[in-house]
Amino acid sequence: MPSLRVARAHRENHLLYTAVFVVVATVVVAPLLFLIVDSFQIAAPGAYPFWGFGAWRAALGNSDIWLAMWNSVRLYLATSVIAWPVAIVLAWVVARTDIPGQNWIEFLLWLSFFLPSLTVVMGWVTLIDPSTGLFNQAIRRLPFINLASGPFDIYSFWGLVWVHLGQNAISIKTILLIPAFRNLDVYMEEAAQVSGAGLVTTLRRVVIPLMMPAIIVTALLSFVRLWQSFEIELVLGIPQGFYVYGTKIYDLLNVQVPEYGQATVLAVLVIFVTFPFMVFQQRFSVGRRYETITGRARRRPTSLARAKWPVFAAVMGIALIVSILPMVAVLVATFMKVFGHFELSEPWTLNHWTQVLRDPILLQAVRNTIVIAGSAALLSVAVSVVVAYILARTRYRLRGVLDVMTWLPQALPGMLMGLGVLWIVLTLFKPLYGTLSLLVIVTVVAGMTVGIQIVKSNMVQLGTELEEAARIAGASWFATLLKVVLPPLVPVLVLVATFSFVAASRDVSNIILLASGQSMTLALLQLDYMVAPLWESATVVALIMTLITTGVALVARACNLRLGVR
Amino acid sequence: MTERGGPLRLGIVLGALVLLAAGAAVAQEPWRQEWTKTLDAARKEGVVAVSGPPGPSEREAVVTGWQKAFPDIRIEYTGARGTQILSKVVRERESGLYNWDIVIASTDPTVFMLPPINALAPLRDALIDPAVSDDKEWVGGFDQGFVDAARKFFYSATGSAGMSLGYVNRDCVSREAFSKSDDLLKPEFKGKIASHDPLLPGSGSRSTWRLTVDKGDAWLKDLYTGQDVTFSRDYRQLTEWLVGCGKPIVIGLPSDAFLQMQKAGLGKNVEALTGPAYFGDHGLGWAGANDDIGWYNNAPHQNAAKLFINLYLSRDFQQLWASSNHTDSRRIGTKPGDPDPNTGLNPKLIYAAWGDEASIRQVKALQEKIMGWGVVQ
Repeated sequence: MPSLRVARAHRENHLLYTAVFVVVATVVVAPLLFLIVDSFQIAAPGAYPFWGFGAWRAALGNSDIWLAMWNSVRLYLATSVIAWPVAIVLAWVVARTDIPGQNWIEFLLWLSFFLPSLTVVMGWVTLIDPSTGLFNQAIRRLPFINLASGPFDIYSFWGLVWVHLGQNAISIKTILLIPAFRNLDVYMEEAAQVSGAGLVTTLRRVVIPLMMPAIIVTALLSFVRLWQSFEIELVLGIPQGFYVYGTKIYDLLNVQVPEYGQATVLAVLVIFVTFPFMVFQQRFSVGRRYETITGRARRRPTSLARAKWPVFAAVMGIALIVSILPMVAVLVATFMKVFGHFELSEPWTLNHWTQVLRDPILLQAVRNTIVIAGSAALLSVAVSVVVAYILARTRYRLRGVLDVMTWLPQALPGMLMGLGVLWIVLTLFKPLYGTLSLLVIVTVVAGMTVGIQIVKSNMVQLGTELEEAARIAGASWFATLLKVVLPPLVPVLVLVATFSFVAASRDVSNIILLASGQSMTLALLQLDYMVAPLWESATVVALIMTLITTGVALVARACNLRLGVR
Repeated sequence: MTERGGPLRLGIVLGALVLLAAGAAVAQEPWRQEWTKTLDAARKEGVVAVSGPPGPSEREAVVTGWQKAFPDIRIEYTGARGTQILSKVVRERESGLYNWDIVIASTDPTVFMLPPINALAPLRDALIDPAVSDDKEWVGGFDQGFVDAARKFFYSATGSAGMSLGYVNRDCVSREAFSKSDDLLKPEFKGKIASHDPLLPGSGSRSTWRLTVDKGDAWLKDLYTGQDVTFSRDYRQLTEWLVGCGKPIVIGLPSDAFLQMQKAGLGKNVEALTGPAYFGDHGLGWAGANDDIGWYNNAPHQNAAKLFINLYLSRDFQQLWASSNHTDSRRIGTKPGDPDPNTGLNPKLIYAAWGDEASIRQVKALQEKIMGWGVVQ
């Protein structure tokens, strides 16, 4: 928490903070208000406006939606119970210990985030479909095993949990926690160990409590995000009659005439459910001291001693599941006539690559993706720094409201966000319509929650002494921010930039209502092939996206930025 | 006897014939004049803005077809699902923005979203080449292609005869065991049937509706509740189940999803479920796909839009479209693009429309009922 002196020094900047507040409100709250107002408009398209509660009654009166919401929650709980301990230990091992190849391990975790989700799901289906899964078939061939199908069933609740764990549930949490773990001053761990605490006790009693802002923000991010999850559930959930909130929203937006009103009601419902948690994390993170980076901060890896190689083996086991296997699946998919069908006499082909590389729109899509994702990455860092600074290091009166506002884009389904922005732009900023700049703005807004909250959770770890010293020495607010506050946060900022780049390059739902043929991105081109349905060619496009994103991560490494991919 | 003036008279007759032919050409002149005038104006507009179905083959057919015909007029093609592009168009027009010239999409959602806001212009107003709307050129006559209730705005140029209920894999289901829709209720097929989600728009819900025209809603409910039908929204997943015999009978699977697998050598004994055995003897019907066409009123490039409509309905373009997208055109003289010989339209037969607005409204009514059964959400 900033001291009174720093807060006093910031008072003159309240005008700037208010300007930031107004901008965030315009891009975040205004689209939501448009949507909410429109949800009361029940006239048919083209008819005279007529107001009522039709959409609200239909959405809230549907008993299926409550079951779907409960399914979302129990899927989240089951996944979290396994993912959280693994992610915390993994983040600590990678960031704080002398495990070999820690930066490459972190890179493998990033890779899992880059991979196309649908391809990975299909990869798991190929392995553990109850009747045709290659892994299941291999087990059934073992002696003394007499099963007609299984033993593993991907079309089950635990199949869903497994795919979530393998896809993002562990890796994203770990990625978001690693910078905070890196910023922990080693003297705290040493003090605990000098007092006789073992590794586990140090982790449980010292490290985790100090990491609480980052852990709570990451937990809330995944809790809010859970409501939007639908891709895995569409493929694996519906065949078993398992519907989640995300699939309900998807349905409402994909019927003959999209039910935007009802979808808005459901989005408001999620905001209502998550609101107390948003307020709690805001109070929690600014109401206590979590300073782990001080003027005396030292970082030195904790020795795992004899446990080093067993831990390394365990970590590589996780990396194998979340990254290496899916990566191999994606690569293999692009070279197979039909992915998973090794029984064909000639299963391999270059046709999918030829088709995509000859597509006249490919180069334009690559260029648009790089421009949009690159701009979004840079802008996201700037927005995250400014807003997080106001939230974490000032006593601006409206910072609590600002904090809650920054969560809204995460709680709003992408297509609704796109529709809200479409309205705002068509009403207030028509010249922006149809430009790449608009796509940059909407992807920045859609991804701002992660960027701001992660930077904020790391900013509260910074001690105030250096900042106060700089101000006493006469440094301006901007100079202090640039030369004192930001340098220790560079790894976090690189993380935010990379995260934003990946999210923007993969974004479909937020931009689909705003893009045109001229602003085609690789993600939209992938969708184009997917709908065709040219599934393997779509995977080629996804792999090209992955290669570009990996290239960006490696450029960050080359620039010697502490992304963790060194 | 040969008259001396014979060659002269022959010359006069031939000359008269030439003059008559020229006269006939002059008689055709008005549409050609209009064509030239429209072409000149379109060149000044410089561009045509088209939204159409997603997919590389659709995009390539439209773009290459246009560029070949009008190389000096640019085409801006945006491929997207109808629900997405039309939501955008509705908001744009509410704000006074008119960005699009042409819409190519399926009957639903177009007929429920664009005619109510008077966004479409009468299609006939765009027709210049008389051959395009000649009844003799189209199976069932030109007007049978209109799919909107007013029968003047939205037009289906393609169509398949009959309809496929889905597919069966004969590697694991014999013809003796399964050869008609009633066989679906046999106990031996419990847990062996999959269906594309009938609540979604598309071929799945349409073929399910056609099934109920013959068997009734209660029969369908029995099928869903008694046979543990597995629902999916993923065509690839349904195809995998079909060729792998996990679910050897699949309802509502479109041909393009399956044909790629068959081309690669999988599911060689998979058969389409077509004909009276599956739909009953209720006469012949046809339905188009996601390639119906309309043009916008207040289109920003009205002349280019007119050229596009005429091009789209021309025999050459219909052939290109049918071949590229494995479909069949209603335009007589085009070769079927769908490899299934049962889907070709016969110009000598009369077909009922199974994909027009009236049919889609019945599909929607059935979907409401299915939702009430609680078998699929």
